Amino acid sequence: MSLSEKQISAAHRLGQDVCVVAGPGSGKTSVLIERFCWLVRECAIAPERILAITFTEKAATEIKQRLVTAFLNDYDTRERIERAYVSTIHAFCTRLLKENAIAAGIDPLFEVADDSVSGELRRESADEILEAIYAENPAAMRSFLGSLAVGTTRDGRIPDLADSLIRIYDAMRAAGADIESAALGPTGVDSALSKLQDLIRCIVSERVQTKSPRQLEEHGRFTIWARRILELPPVPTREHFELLNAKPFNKTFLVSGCMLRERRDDINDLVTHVRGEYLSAYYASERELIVEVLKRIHARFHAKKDARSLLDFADLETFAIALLEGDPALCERIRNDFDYILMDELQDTNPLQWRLLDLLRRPDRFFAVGDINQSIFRFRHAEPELFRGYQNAIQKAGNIVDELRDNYRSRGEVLTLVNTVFDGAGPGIVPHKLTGAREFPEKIVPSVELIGGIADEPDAEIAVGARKEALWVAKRIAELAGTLLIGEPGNTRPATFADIAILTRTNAAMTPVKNALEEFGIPSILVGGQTFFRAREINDLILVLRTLVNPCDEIALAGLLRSPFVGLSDESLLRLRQGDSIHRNFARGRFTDFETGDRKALEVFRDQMAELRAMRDSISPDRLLRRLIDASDFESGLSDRGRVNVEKFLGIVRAEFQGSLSELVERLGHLSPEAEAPPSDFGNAVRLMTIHKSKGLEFPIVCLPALHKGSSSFQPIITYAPGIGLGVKWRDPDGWKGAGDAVYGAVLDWQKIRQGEEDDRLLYVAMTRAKEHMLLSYAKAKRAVPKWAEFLCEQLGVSGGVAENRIREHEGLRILITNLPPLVAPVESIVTQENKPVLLNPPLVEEQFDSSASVTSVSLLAACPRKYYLSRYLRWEPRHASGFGFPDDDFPSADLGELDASEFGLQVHAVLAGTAAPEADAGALALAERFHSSALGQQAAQADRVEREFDFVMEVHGMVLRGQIDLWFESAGAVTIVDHKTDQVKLPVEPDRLKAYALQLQIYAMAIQKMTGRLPEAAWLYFLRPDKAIEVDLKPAALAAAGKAVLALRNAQDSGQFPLREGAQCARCEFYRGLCPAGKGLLEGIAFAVNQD
Amino acid sequence: MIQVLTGQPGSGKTRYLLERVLAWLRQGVEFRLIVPTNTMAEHLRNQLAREGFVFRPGAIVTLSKFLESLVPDMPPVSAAALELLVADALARIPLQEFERVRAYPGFRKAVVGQIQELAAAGYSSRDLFFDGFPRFRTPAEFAQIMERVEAEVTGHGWFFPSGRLRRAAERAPAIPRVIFHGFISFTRPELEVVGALGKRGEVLLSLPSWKGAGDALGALRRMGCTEINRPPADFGGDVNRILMTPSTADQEAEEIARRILAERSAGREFREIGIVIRSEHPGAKPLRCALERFGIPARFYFGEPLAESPVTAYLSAVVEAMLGGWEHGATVAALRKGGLPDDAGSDEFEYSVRAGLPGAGLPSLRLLAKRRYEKIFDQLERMDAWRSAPAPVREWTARFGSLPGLYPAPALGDGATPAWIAIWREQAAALAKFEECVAELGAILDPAGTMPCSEYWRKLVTVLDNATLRIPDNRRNVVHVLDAYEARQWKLPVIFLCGLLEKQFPRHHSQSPLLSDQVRVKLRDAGVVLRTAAERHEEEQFLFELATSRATSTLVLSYPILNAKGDANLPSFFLEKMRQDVALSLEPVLRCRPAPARPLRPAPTVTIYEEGLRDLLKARYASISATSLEKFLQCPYQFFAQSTLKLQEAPPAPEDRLDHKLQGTVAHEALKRVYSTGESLASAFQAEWEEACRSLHIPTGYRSEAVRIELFRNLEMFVNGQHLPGTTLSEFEKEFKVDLMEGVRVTGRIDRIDVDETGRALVVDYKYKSAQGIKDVVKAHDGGRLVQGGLYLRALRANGYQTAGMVYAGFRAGTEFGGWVDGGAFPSVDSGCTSEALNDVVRQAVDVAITAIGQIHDGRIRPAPAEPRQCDYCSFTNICRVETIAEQNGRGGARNELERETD
Ligand code: SF4
Repeated sequence: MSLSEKQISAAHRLGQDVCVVAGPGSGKTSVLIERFCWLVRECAIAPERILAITFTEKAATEIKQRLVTAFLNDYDTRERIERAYVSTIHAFCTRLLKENAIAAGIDPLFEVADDSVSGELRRESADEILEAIYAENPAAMRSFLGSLAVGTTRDGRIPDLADSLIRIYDAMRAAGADIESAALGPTGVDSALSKLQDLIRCIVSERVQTKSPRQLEEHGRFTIWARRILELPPVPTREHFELLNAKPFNKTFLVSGCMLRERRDDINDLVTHVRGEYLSAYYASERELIVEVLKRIHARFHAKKDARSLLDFADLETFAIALLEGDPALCERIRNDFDYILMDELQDTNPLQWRLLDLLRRPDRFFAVGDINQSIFRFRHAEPELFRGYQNAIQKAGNIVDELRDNYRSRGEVLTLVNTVFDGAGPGIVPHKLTGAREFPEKIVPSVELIGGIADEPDAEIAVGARKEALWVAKRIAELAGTLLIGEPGNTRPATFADIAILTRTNAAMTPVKNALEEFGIPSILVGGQTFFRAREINDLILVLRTLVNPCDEIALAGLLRSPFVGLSDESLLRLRQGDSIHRNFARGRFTDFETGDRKALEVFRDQMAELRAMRDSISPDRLLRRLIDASDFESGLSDRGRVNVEKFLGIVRAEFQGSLSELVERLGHLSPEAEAPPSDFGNAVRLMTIHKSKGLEFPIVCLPALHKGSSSFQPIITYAPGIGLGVKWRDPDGWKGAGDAVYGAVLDWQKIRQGEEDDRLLYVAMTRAKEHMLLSYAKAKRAVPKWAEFLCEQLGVSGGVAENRIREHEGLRILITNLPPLVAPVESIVTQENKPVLLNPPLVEEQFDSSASVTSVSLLAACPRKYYLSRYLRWEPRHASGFGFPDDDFPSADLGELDASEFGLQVHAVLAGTAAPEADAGALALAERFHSSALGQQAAQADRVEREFDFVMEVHGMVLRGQIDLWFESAGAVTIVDHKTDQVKLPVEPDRLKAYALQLQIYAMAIQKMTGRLPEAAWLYFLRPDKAIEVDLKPAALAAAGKAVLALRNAQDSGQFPLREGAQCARCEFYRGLCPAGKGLLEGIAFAVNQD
Repeated sequence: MIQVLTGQPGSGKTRYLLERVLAWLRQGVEFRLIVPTNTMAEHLRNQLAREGFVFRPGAIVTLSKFLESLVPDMPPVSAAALELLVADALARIPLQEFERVRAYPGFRKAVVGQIQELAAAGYSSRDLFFDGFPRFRTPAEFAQIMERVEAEVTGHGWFFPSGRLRRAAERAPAIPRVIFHGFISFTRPELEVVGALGKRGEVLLSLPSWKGAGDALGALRRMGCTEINRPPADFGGDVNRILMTPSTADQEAEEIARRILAERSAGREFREIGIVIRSEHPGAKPLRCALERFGIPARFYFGEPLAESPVTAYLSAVVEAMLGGWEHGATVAALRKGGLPDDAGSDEFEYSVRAGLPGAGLPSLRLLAKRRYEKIFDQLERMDAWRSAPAPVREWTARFGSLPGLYPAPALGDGATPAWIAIWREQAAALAKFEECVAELGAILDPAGTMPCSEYWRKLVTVLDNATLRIPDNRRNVVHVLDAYEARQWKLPVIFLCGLLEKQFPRHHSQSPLLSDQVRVKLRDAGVVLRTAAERHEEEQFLFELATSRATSTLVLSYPILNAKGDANLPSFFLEKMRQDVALSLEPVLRCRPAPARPLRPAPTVTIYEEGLRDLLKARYASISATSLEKFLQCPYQFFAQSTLKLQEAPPAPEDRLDHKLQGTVAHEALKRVYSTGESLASAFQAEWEEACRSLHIPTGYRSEAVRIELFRNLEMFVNGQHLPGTTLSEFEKEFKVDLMEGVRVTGRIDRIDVDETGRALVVDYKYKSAQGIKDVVKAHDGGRLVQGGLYLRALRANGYQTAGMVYAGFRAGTEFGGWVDGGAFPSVDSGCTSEALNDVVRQAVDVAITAIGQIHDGRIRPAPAEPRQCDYCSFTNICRVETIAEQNGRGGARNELERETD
């Protein structure tokens, strides 16, 4: 899109701070990008010297992507854009703090805690502090709890004190306020009381023309009351409240025109105020306790984050500010790192963020775009006044504020409607006439429609009207899809469901429309929302995890058995309950009298669960779940969305798993609600989303149903507003009803005003999402007060409360106000092409043997495959199976007195190889000497070539073998190999043992042959202890057998089969009766023999 | 003599060098091939052996092995030792700048990393103290720390790599031919070794052409090396380059698996395929999952942190539990990580412990175990003494060294799947490594030094945290999953290079907090050359080029379009750049999954049809309480799950035990005492409250206090209000049985019966409900969804009472009566109901009850909540699957239907 002159001049403005007031659809992102590009191209600013701040991660990615496209052919610049600061303010703070962690006084490896983690820690802190205070001073806590107007709610839960405290704590942090001063409230009872007293004096002094004794009596009652009020002692007691709660007169008996009657509202107001002020004074120590609690929560929360090296989002801002404010030189340096700062969506900034920006920006180098009318993130503490202030400052300095009013999004009729509705609407919206700047095709039908569902039946609730409304909306959607032409002039097409978005204030408000769409058979899809953890398939997966953790959780076990993973019938479930509990019967696994299908399913499932349980902490849970999902064909029962939800869940568990499944399951219970995963293909479905979610998006057709819904009227027991203070709803000491203190009412009033303003803006944002067509609708019941609906009808001059039951047009509006439901006629079902997955069979897996092995492995396998398996293949140490065996009192002394067998063997070999340390063991030296003086030793001493400890690698049958020959020597062309054995053997050496040793020498011979081209003449096993040399057979048959032994190793690895070879040698095996099952079974005889050995 | 072989990645340097080596092998020339990693050495050895050569394995070694042979007398300082020394130095040296951060583990690690970086590059703290050394406080304080650590290292007889390399250079043996291969650059001390070897023999180095190798090349030139330059490989080549863009990371892994299977069925061996990711996180896990699902054997070339192994987790949890005084929750959680068998007994033991929380200490836990797990408890008891007194390090070493024995060995059968083999190998490796770590710490600390268990354990944790497990996997015919560094040594026919996203590949490097880039620039001027963030970014580009040049036949590049939130990802800029230079063919991604072992089972039916089972139900519910009946009327499935199946829930945490139901019970009991014995409310309530808290182990705290205060205040208002009629006779908690018809018996217990002078009786049912709640109950009763009122009246009549009516007495936040009371009898609760109307109430309740009991006997269990909101508070939603019933019924389900009805 090429930019307009106005857009360009805003983008290119220099020499002042720039404020671009950009209405909806005015192309503000394009202007921001243009500025970036222009600064780089025309002003030669390096990309990394521009700081661009966006409101969301998503926007940052989009801007970066667009910048990359803009510099597609300029690789150098593009590469620098990679490293440019285009990010959210939090990402920027993270980078700043990581690089300056020491100056900031934080852990350089800190991580950012997301809202769910930080919320959890806040929650823990609040609970712990409340508990601690209770433990320290139970009486104070009791009186505190008794004084707060906490009452149980309808469902029986105690309103959450910790939660209320956390709320105000958050608000104070976002306002950048410190708790002590933020909590400062009124201290005296003077102001309202003296006003009340003045008024009372005035009234009392009036001469009343009384007529009847009754009137006289009323005035008399009032005078008595008034006198008591005038004499109220300063320190409040219960009597004060009794007095204030008393009804001092009954207005119906008063003469009209008398002052008491005329000023009664003022009296009531003042009484409320005085009560509020007295409450503050009465509960002063409890109030102080709140402040103390807040301070301690802050400290505890901080300590908790600190212990885990976490910073939450608010910390990122506060620490960055503290860093810059605390070190002017550093601040200066960082400020100088950026020539320009570009800021998107300034209206969504909170006071902390603004303070930070203020520290970073240089004069006349700040560029911000935004629209105060679209500020809808108050719940995230956004402060639109900041934008207003910035704009005013620029104007005050005599500089230009750029206003982009041209709207490139919406049809004229839509804009006219917006202009009409918000013309002089109230303080929430800055009047700002939108002008259409885009061409649209001709259209005969009105572009804006209004539907009202009226519940005028006696006693009808609003829901009745909402249902009528929703059905009419669904019906209208069914009509519009396929008939309404949309698109460019000369290039139109009929609208589809995918062109339609339904926007509501909350997710909950969507339910009636969602149901109505279903009834009409209109496909719809929820974008965003918080239903992920409530989705059926996700719950099924959680059931698997819960059951794996502990199947005694029968709610999980039974749910899982009924889920598609097993598909058990309730009859079988009932049967499983017979005689014992479900989990025990399941564990026992006797399902004989069950229906065949159920029985088989149960048997398979029980085995699967046993296997998965055994590996539950050893492999990541996504793999556990996938095994079950794949085996049971779970996915084939899921929708496209269900499938991506499963994938999302697997991603979550993968990320959250830290080595313990039970901890994972617990953590899952604490995660914040999530939106369902976006399906890979939205298809031809109507989108449902909240207005907040729709920010920044646009749709050809927008429906705004449920306009009768207001914002939540939740009133916490403790409130806070910056600049006003901390307000509490206490129990009135007289009668224990809840009553707000002086600040409480003020804060609520303030919040109400702010909420009202934000409500206006929310509607504004919603209405400006529509490109071509808009459908507004509401419901009305007798008792209910419609919110936006009323306002809209008023602004449009439509009387919307009475059913007309006909469609009419009024100033370009199509209007239907009705108390009848429409006929439900489902739309022709739309066959979505099912994108069938390919089902793949497992591949043929061969040659799973190791690429290399040692020669000793070959002989070990030949001696006992299981021993090889345990010791070499799995590498388990026998001692690890022998239990926990540290001595209680006396610890092993450092010297054992005697060398253990393997260490001794090593020393002998070292002596023989000539590499021994000088302090070698005498026994080892003696044994070595035996060989030296033997005939073989003599031969070696006189050989032409001698190699000791000769290691080699060689390939045999596809396996690379590693070996080490103790000694080989060559005399007159003949090679002899010697292998020294230092172990205790009895002569004659057992044949099996001899065979295994011989095998090694035979392979050595093969290596020598391969290396030198000649087979050794002789190979000797030299048993040093009995001083006995035994010659090894090197005949071709023997060597071929050795080759076969290598093959056997290969095959064993390939097949995974490593059978036991039980026999006498078990006695010498360290695995015997430990990791090896030998001797535990049938072969008692052998076991006995071994024990005797 | 030194020769340097330079060239772009993929220019054939490896082939050139291998040919040299082969020639030497044939000629029997002595040589050394020195490579950076073990896997590479192993790989090359195997490759040469397969060519038919028999040779000494020592001919191909890693640089560290080579050093080991030259300087066996100079043990290197381990990372763990360094970290402990740094921690010590930080605690001892007075610091200004680091004051606020010195205790942070991340800061300690940053200091260790910085020391390692300097030491590897051949610098010591002395190199930081020169004239004009950047006058920033941070580097200055860092230098002090480093100096102290160096002194300690020397004192312990350990050495930094640079020292070892320098000594090795001095001791360099005369080897005729030496090749250095696979290094992407050389540090100064490494070059000293090269130089020394070059003086005594021929040295040939390969050095890829990239900016980061510039300094090394310069130094080599100064040594007078000769250069052999390999021309850049022609980038087009005959390699097929494919790009695919799956929507998510998981689909990316699935698509890779699918393509591997396709390659396999076309005859390709697994070992000819490699998957390259920039680094283990975040790519390896989805790949592991996908490859396993599709049955593809793969080897992952990544070490695993010992701390994450289940073995360590178990042993650590036991130690922590011991240090925490065997708090029951922590202890049972620890034991479940390995100490207890996975059987129903252990499951129940765990629940019994959790139900009894809070608790601490071994003896009481042992009692709960009821003589099971004697061995493990004996072992734990022996550990118990550990926390009492400090002990010498020597003792701790012996004690902790024996700790692996606590881990129960699994049954290591053969014929196991690769997953099990991997798990068992990991366990074995972890146990051995744990022992090694204990030994390592033993060598670091003074063996005679004395410390308490907790302190020793903290130090051991540092060592454990630094340890990495290498789980042996030596299979040959597997797909290789490698990170970009490992991949530099590989050439394979098919390579998948995935996760090509900004911040993943390239990774973004931020500046060091200790020696910022600004400092580094200044240091460079003084001859201390350390890389800046920008230079590390260049390495990313180089790694990318390396990775893309590993394939000889097919290179498949990919990145997921969406992130976990479902927002668009930013693809790697490197990929964008590559796309400008070479053609990539964009190929589609096909959805796939492994063929299931069995087809999905159809959704089960929800009625009990079978006669035998119905008979069971009939017998079980021959007599039923009024309360149960109401449960059935609320929802037949809820009734089935709760009353018939009696499903057991996980024991609630202590703070959750004080639920609505318990509050109601306490209130009922207290009222009973007050009214039947005349006890004061305060004492009756307190007694009941304390009893409830005691029997359910509910700890006293602010939350229980809040509930207590509230409940008491409500009861006080109720009792003080004394709205109940004065009567001549009251009965409390009256049990009844009544036969509604043949075989239909209802039982129950009436809270209170008031009888006036004329003998007319009023049923009172206490409900801990608000005014609205009472209204709702009456409305529901009138609507036939509740039956208690009518049945109670019926029971009274059957027992010969003359009934005046029935009221629900609500006492939450004020008192509220609601019900049906005959005019005139009890004026204070009179609802103006005629006796006819009262009869109707009874009749309706009886009818509803009879029908319901019939349905229960007939096996009706279909989910049908009386109110849609009910499901929100129901524990059984996951069993009844109420929303899926909807789908089976066609559009709109049980809940939807209801919502519509009530709308
Ligand atoms: S969730 Fe609803 S339908 Fe299911 S058992 Fe509970 S109350 Fe019944």
